[in-house]
Amino acid sequence: MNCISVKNVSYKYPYTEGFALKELNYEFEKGKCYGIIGANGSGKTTFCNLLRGMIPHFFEGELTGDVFIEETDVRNWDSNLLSTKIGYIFQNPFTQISGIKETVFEEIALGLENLGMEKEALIDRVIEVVKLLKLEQLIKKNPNNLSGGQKQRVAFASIIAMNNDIIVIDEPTSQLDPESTAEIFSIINLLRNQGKTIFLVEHKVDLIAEYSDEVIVLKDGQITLSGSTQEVLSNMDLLQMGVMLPQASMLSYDMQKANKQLDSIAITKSQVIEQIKQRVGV
Amino acid sequence: MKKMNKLTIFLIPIGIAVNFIGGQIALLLKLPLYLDSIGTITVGALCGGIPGALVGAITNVSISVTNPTSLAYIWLNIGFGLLAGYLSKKGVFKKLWKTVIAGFGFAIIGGGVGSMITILLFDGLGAGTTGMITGMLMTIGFSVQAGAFISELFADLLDKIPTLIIVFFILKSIPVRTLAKLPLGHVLIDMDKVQGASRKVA
Amino acid sequence: MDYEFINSFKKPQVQNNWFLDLNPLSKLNIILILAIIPIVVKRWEVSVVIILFYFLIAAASSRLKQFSKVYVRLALLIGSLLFIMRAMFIPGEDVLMKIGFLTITQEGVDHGLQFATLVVAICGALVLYSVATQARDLMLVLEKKGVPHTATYVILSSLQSIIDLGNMSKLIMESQKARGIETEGKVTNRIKSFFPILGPLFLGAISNSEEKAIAMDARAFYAPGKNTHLRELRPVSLSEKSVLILINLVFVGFIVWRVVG
Repeated sequence: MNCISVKNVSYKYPYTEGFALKELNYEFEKGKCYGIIGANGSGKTTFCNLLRGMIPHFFEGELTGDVFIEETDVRNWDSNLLSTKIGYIFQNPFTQISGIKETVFEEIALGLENLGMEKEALIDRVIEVVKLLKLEQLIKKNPNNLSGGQKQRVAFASIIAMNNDIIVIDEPTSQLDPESTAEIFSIINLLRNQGKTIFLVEHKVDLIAEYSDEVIVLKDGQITLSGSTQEVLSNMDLLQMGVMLPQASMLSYDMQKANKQLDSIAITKSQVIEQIKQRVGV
Repeated sequence: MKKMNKLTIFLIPIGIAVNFIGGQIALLLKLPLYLDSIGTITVGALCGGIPGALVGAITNVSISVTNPTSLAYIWLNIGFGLLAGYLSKKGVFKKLWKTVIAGFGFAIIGGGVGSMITILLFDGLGAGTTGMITGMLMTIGFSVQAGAFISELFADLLDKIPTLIIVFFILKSIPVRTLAKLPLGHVLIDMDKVQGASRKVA
Repeated sequence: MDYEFINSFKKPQVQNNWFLDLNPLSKLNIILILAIIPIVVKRWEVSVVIILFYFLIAAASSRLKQFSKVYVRLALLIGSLLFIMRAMFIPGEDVLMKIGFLTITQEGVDHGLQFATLVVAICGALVLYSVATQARDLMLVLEKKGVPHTATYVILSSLQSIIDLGNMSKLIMESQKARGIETEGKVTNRIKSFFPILGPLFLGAISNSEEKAIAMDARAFYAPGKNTHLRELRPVSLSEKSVLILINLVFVGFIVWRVVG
């Protein structure tokens, strides 16, 4: 079943001349993780705003074509209800903390309070999420005084608590150190295993290779390449689109050049290791 | 009441904080100015008179916790917000010279209404430097009303013109995409700049 | 996991102090009465009694330190300024002494004393309320009374914004100093250094507010329907209600007696 479909969509921000998104077409299926990549300014965040319904509900401007979220035209969605359907997490950990709660536990509960959840159920739900994301040590802390990585984990917890079917995640780790990045990706992996539909914008293609089912490449607001992760991330054309190939793919191509090619172009480290193991015969 | 613009809700707290911090920085730099209504006037100019007035009102209520007399002068900050919204609609903040002249309007609220409050509640002798000056003016023969009016108008003029200049440059630096989402942004957007920018993109 | 902490949300939030645990609106009611009494009576002795009473309440609610920290300095500053100015500038018949061009009169001193203690007494009510009531508790009560949560958000969030922007302004000021921008010296230089400190701070906050709007939208901030609350306050007990009504009745009676009598 399609959860979001985008048909002939073009979008122009107010007071600008060029289109930020051009002639987009895509059918997104339920339960898959979609990696969205592209150079800076290629329209990734705008695309997220489209999927999240912020376009046209928060961002004015010119929207042509149709976006259907669960079979309903985005224009007909009550924008206040969309937040109960689609979760949204983005790069800046600091602006995602509400600033009105004094403990992490209460911060995570905020979305559920807004949804009007009864207290008993609410507390149980927050406990569940705290355990899932291993935030036990943080619950009594003031969310405003956490580190960036901790804040980002709390931001994830706050959205996950709301139990949306669809989650849009826009460069969640671009301001984080490697350790926090690993923690965030283990959370994304949890969401995948829960069967959520995920849209993930991420610069680090190696991580996209690990976690997404399909990849969409944007360049100048257009989808220039899309398909299964294996297919897209092993395509040398990516380099022309301002995107790096995963290290594993580069290695595979280098080995090809050196006439020591692998059976197929690997995109993740584990694939490379597997293939080399086979060759060496371990 | 018409539903408030979504971004406005999040700008009001910023305006309040900027009033606060502006006043504190002015104190730290030992400036002979208040500079504590920049947030009120900016939010008024961006979002309209009511949000501006809200910024002003909440600012004075919050300050009153540490300096309760500020509660008496809440009307000034409300007036600044309303006036900023009105002037912004008229396009005053698009030109620096108009903005500077508008400073006189704010000073009349600050000095005129301010001295009225001082006279009504504090018999013209408030607790501050302007109160001192009023006292001095009284000893050389001015009435308490005239003394309070002159000293407060002067102090406010000294404050509001720099304040308005700062507001002007803040407004000028706000990106078009942000202005586009704000109630009075359409007035403030400089069409020449917009076309220039998009030409650069194209 | 700290279940004791989590379970504390299942019960009303209490601090185990009779005054602090009064409903925020009951406290407001009592403190307003305390502030109005000196306005009505207009005698410095009454104002002083009320001022002393504030200290008593502050001590009883174990907030004496916080209260004194803010109030003593404030009272001395505002009180002395208001007093001195009146003593110096208010003309009168009964001249106490002459210093240069200033004539200090008994009338001036009397009026100064009455007025300074009155203002200090009114200020005390506000300070006491602020140390005895958490903003989030007051907001919680207001929400229960039907104030929209966008309004309470604005208030609570501005308190946090003041802290955040304050910290940031310190950082910016230090780095400006390090870069050789003058924050001391001539007035013109100091004025010039104001904008580079406040400008980036304000503009950054404006652009962040856009993200905040999106983030809060994702947290169902605008969801239709009534929101619930994780924290709850003790329901107003019958005894609290009756004592409050009694106090108000006595107060109204007192006002009527003062006005008529």
